[in-house]
This record gives sequence, C-alpha cells and structure tokens, in this order.
Amino acid sequence: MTDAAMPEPLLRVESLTKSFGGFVALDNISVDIRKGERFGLIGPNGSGKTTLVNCISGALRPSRGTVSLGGEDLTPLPPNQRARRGIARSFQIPRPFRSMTVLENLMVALDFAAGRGVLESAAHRRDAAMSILARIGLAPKAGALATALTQVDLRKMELARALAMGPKLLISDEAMAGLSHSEVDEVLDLLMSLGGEDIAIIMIEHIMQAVMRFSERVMCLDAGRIIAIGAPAEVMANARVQEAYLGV
Amino acid sequence: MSRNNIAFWTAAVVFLAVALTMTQLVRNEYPFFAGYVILQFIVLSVAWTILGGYAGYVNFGTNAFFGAGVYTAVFLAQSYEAPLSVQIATAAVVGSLLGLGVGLMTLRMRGIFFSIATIALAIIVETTVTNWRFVGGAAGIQLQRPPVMAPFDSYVKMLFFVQALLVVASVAITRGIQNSWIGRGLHALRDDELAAECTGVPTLRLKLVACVISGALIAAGGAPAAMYLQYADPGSAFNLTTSVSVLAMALIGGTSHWIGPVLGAILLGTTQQLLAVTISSEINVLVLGIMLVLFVVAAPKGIIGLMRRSSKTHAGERA
Repeated sequence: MTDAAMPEPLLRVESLTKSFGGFVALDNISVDIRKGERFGLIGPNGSGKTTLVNCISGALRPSRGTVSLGGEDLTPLPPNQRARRGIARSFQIPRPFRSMTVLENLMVALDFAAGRGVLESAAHRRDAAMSILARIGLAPKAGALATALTQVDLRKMELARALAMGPKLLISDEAMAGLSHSEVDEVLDLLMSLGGEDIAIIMIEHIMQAVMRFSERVMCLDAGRIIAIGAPAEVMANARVQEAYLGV
Repeated sequence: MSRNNIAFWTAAVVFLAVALTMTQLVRNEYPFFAGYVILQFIVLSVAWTILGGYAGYVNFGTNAFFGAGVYTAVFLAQSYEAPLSVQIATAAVVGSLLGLGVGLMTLRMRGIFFSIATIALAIIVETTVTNWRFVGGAAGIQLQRPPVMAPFDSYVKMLFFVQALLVVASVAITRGIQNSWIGRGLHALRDDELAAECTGVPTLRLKLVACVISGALIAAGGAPAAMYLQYADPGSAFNLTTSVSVLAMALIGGTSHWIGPVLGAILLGTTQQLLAVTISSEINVLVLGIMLVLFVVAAPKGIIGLMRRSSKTHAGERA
C-alpha cells in the first residue's frame, strides 16, 4: 500500500470530504487505484459508497479534496468531461435511455464519450456497438426498446453502454442487486473478463462471494470513513469490518 | 444522398413550387392571408419542438421570441427601411442571442422551473418593449409596407411565399438535428439527464444549442408578422396565446419526430382559421383547449403516436 508499490495510480482520490449540511457523508477519503485493478468497495447501507462513486464520476462535487485520473485533476470537471476522459459507471437502479433501443443506448456512448460520432461512419459505429452487445450476450435484443428488457438484461445493457465509452475506469454500482445466482455468476464473469483488458473496475456489491471472488483489493467504508483496505481475506477478517458490516 | 434525403428535398421543392404557383394563379387574397398564419404556426411549432420535444424542456416563452422577432422587424423598418430579408435574418440573430442569454440563465433548472422561468422572460421582454417609445410603446405602431417585388402582385402573397420558405428552412434544420448526434444527445438527456452526462453527453451545451436554434427560428418566423399586419403592439406581439397554441400544436402532433408539429400546426391552424370565419375568432381558444384535453387523454403521444400504433397493429395483422 505504499507509493512504491503503486508508482502510477490510474485514479487518485485525495482527502475527499463530502458533507450535506451538517452530515458528513465522506470523511477524508484517500485511495489510489491502479490501471486494470479489480477493486471491491463494501460497507453497510449509508456508509458513503454511492456518494464516493458520485464524487468520482462527477455527479456530486466534493466539499474538499481532489479526484484525479492519470495525473489530471478532474475535480472541477462536469460528469460528461470525466466520461470522455475514461470514467464510466453503471447505476444502482438502472438508468437506461427509455425512448431508445438497446443499440441506440450504446450509440449515445459511442457518439459522445468515445468521440467516434465525428470520426467514423454510422455503419462503423453500429458494428462497434453490435460487437460489444455480442460480447455481453445482448446481440439478439439490439433492436428491443430499453423499457422492454428484463432486470438482468437492463444491468447488462448498462455495462455494455459503459463499455462502449471505451473506459479506463468502470464503476459498477451494485450491478448484481436483485439477480438470481446464475445471473450473478454471469455478470461477475463478464466483469472479471474486463479487468484483464486494462480496465480498472470498482465494484460496489453486497453479495460477499462475488466481492471475494472478484476483488484484488477490498475497501470497507463505514459512516464515511475507511475502516479497512487490503486483500479481500484480510479485510473480511478485520474485526471492525465484521462488527460494522457483517454485524458479528 | 440517401433515399430518405432525396424524398425529403423532392417534397420540399414540390411544396415551394405549389406555393409559388398558387400565388401566381389564385387572384383572391384571402387564402394567402389565412394560409400565412398556418405556415407561421408550422415554423413556430417545429422550432419549439427542438427544445420542447427533443430535449423535453417545455418552453412557455415562445411569445417572447416571437415578439422579439416582430419588434426587430419593426425597429429595422422604422429606422433603416430595411428590406424583409434583412428583417428576418436580423430577427434570427436576435432570437439566437435571446436564446443564448435565456439558456445560460435558466437551463440549469430542470422541468417545471425552466418553464416558469420562460414565462418570466416573456414578461420582461414585453415590459421592455412597452416602454420603448421608438417602436411605438404600449400604443403600438403603424407600419408602411414597401412596394411589392416581382413576381408577386400583392404583399400578402409574397409574405405567404416567404413564410413557405421559412417552413422549409425550419423543417430542414429540425430534421437535420433529429438525425444527427445532436438529436441523439438531446433525446438521451430528455430520457435521463444524469445518465446522459455520465455517458459523455455535454447536456448543458446541447440544451444551449437547442435553445439558440429554436429561438432563432421562432424569431425569424415572427419577423414577417409586422408587415403582415402593418401594425405591431406589445399586447398582440407578446400574446401568451401564441405560446399556448404552439405548445398545443406540437403536443397534438407529437414531439418525437419533426412531422408531428407540422401535422399539429396544419390541423389546429386550419381549424382555427375555419372557426374564425364561420363562428368567431374568440372560439379558437376554447377549441384549442378541448382538442388538447382530448389528445392528452386519448393520444398522449400525439398524431404520430396514433399513426405508429396503427401501423404496428397492421404489421401485426400481416405477420
């Protein structure tokens, strides 16, 4: 966990604090995530996980502290600028573009975040979108309206849309909530395969086996503070984590 | 050029040719007097749809942009005797600047707050013009039409054709936006603004672009109204009924495709003109209200929604 171990972090969060009125949701959080890392983020409800994600993706402005990607300070930038620099996210409750088909949802990402709208022909981008959908296993539903999808397909579509952005960092906010066992494995395999491609992934999850299997490192938040960070087994064994999170 | 484009531009050329031929063949001025209003409403409601439909930001300040167009024309006619084309072009510039200013101030607000802010804008602009003596102030101003240009034999017929040109221009621009990445971005932010931002859509910038283009087209569509009536006063130039009519036309036609406001404006505009002749001009508003209620209840996605639904059931029957 020293600087020597991670000479060039992809994402650097430095003394990040976010308060809403008198309530401190995040208290002086500092963490580095390296290129291609699979990073698990856990903590009880209300511990600040989604607030942290919102501060990284730009949906919220932190009260203090900075967020930088590849050495560039992102703190003053709006979400769309951060998206174009390589931060993609899925939402805790899926937020598809409801009037569009699955394919069109991906086209938004290709047009804007990946900046391909200006450079490439529509046919080219369509092919790119289709190949992502094929990988995720959504190709047969490319023409379906986003509103017609099942829960698991919606989750997959959010991941596909995030992938279409060509991200360096993908934040998956409870992408497996409400899914069956086999569906969880399916989504997890998908996320694991992405980590191998130099996409760093922050996975927020309540399903413990998933976090344990997925993460190279795990961070546990409680009441806006980091109470443990390190190898999954270490963090799970930590007494404070067990007390705060597992209620043991 | 794709087949779609060829069909569109062929239709546009045919439309203009028919409009021009009519001005040469029909002697009676009245059809042009009434037709002008319908064409004007097509321009306004198509332009309104860019922001109100594609982006989902309901603008109640159409009358502010319309009135700004009217008074730009009045000012230019009064001080420089500028020709109609200059009046329209300048009105478009003024409308786009107004759109930019309003957009910067209000587009950070969402939903209903934006709509309320646009009403306030209309009141501010109207109050300003009411207190501006040079353009007639509250009492209004009489305008002298310049001599008509060939090949037209009456000024109203010429204005009718000019408005037909504006229809083609505004529909072409709106259609271009709909089919481009700008349109995709506007639809994305209408569906979910945060998700759009996080997918890389510069939502504020796109909304500004939509507001600027929409404002420019509405003001341009309003500019010839000064010479059409040969009179302008703040009460009618900034009449809130204009906003309501335009909104109703767009909603009744359907706002997800440019053809929606065109159909809505033709349907409502024609009905209003017929009622004005047969019953009274006051009944317009009543009919507008009733039709809006009927459509909101029976066809919330407008005429387009109805057509899509029926084409889908037909396709289902065939399959």
